[in-house]
Amino acid sequence: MMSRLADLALHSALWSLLAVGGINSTLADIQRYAVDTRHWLTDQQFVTFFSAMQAAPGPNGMAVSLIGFQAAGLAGALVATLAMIIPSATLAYFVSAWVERHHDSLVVTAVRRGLAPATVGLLACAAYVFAREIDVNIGRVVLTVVTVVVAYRTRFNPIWLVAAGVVVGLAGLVK
Amino acid sequence: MNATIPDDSNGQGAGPPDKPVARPQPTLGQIFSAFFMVGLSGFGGVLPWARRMIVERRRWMTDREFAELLPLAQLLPGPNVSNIATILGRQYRGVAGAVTGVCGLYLAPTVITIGVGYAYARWGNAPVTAHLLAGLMPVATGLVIATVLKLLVSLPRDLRNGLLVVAMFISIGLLKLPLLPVLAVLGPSGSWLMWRGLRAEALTRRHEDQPR
Repeated sequence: MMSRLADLALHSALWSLLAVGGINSTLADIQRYAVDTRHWLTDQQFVTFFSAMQAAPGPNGMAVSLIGFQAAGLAGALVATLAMIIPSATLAYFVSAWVERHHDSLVVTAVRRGLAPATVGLLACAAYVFAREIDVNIGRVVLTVVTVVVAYRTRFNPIWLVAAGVVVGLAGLVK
Repeated sequence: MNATIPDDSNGQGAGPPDKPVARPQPTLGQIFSAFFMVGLSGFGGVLPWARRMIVERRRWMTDREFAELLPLAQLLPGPNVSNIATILGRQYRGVAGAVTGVCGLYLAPTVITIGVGYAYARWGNAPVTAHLLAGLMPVATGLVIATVLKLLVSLPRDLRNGLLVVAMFISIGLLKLPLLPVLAVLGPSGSWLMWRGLRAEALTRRHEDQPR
């Protein structure tokens, strides 16, 4: 149990430190480790947690806490949450103070521009994992495509799209 | 080597700081309550709620200052809004402010998430949960895809950006390589490519500025 908590703490910290542009960037890596390597949860549970957390209040990173809960109960959830928050907040504290003094430097701009495409590539991986595991029938594919078009073309608050999806699901229109 | 290092970087003559002189000084209690509300209300992306709270309700910053804070919060790893809580807390009240902001932000989501964990353990296999998730999950997928599309069109269209996006997708998404070594290679090499471009631009600009 202790070794599982330590494993969880180490990887939660690692994921939050590698999460350039938000925690969804590390989604594919979390799936690789938590599902494929450690078998803390199934593929289905993984995508359920991550997609449910897109709709829950608070930072998206909370899905990591839910994985901790699945792996080791309440202690797992608390350990994963703290390990996710503390190292990246400490880094943000010191690096932001440094960057504020050097924000015009070429290096800072170069790192920012260099990480931007990496972030997009990582988010594309997250989208790919979601689509592969979730869009398993034609009804779900249609719902996803409609969401993409509406979310891309309009400025609706995403919560209305989520609510509409829940209604469609509860009405039994998608399986 | 260390003969004389003129103290010009931090000296008095380095130029006035370009920050406004009068900044609001929220108390720790105000920092906590502001970020507690942000954590509670952040459905479907927390950033818009953070902006509403900090710029519109509390008037701690102007829209422009908030926009200038964003690239840094996005550059740093971890949830962007968590970085905003850290940075603002630090600017207003140092270590205590940063800790207060982050605790305020995460308190409600942590309690809710643990509640969701228990609820899933209890009702995860109930038919109504399956129906609900069957509608919710494809929408969540669509939201992530839309975000990817928006970010893709916002990138400058050149070979470097295209190569980096594709390299990342192949190594993580298709080959399932561990993130740490991939990011350790692609992060610095991407930054180096961009740095070369920036340096070339800076040199040309300096060259053009020379009187003929």
